[in-house]
Amino acid sequence: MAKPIVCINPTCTITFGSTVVDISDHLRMVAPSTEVEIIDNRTFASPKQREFGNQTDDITLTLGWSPDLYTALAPYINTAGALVCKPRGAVSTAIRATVRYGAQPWGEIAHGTTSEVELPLIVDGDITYS
Amino acid sequence: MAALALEAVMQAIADRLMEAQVVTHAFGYPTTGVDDGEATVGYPPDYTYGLPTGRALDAVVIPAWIIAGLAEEESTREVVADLLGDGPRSLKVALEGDLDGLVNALILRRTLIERVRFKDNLERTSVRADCEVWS
Repeated sequence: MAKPIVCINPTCTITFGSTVVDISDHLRMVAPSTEVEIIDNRTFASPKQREFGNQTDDITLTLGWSPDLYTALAPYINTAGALVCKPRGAVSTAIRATVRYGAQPWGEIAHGTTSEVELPLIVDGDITYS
Repeated sequence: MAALALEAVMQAIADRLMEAQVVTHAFGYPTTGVDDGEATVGYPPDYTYGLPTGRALDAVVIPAWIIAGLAEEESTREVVADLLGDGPRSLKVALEGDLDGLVNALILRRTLIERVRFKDNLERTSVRADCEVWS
């Protein structure tokens, strides 16, 4: 098995229909997460039995805010889009998911700093790497 | 998985600087024989061991000094700007990547602009690129 990778110049796009929204220049971090419920169905006959239940996939994007970002995201609130995130920008394999966001992201605004925002994404289906 | 091949990596950084025509010549080791428009690669000040098994993700910061020119020459300013910019002489463009698979990653997060005094007693402006490298 190859060793863990160090991310270099990660890129991220979300494609809505034929429109590609490239947020790479705003990208600080992409945080995919998957939670699987553990169901306790122990019985006297099987006192240690547990099963996996529902799976919930989320992705949170941390972005540097700009008016351009606001404009780019505005038309696609609650619209399904194809997210493609390449941990190493020069490589073709990517983390992929069908995602939606529910609102414009907002963050703190302070003199001399970047306004950093978090954009939580609902994942429809699974997060894959291909 | 393997430890960082320090000797090869230092030479690869020098070679990359020459291939990308950032400098006319680069030494893969620290030397005082460097001249204007040339570069010398130094030793990392420390070596951080990564994962305990297989020596993956060992990490170092390897400095490379590029001698831009005489500190008080106007033309030196153009060289410094080119090195820091994103054009064909860009340090970041030339160095970032995986050195043709030799390392896991090389990232250039910062450069320092320094004044160094040469044997001729004249001061040069050098650009020090701190190359963060992982095995």
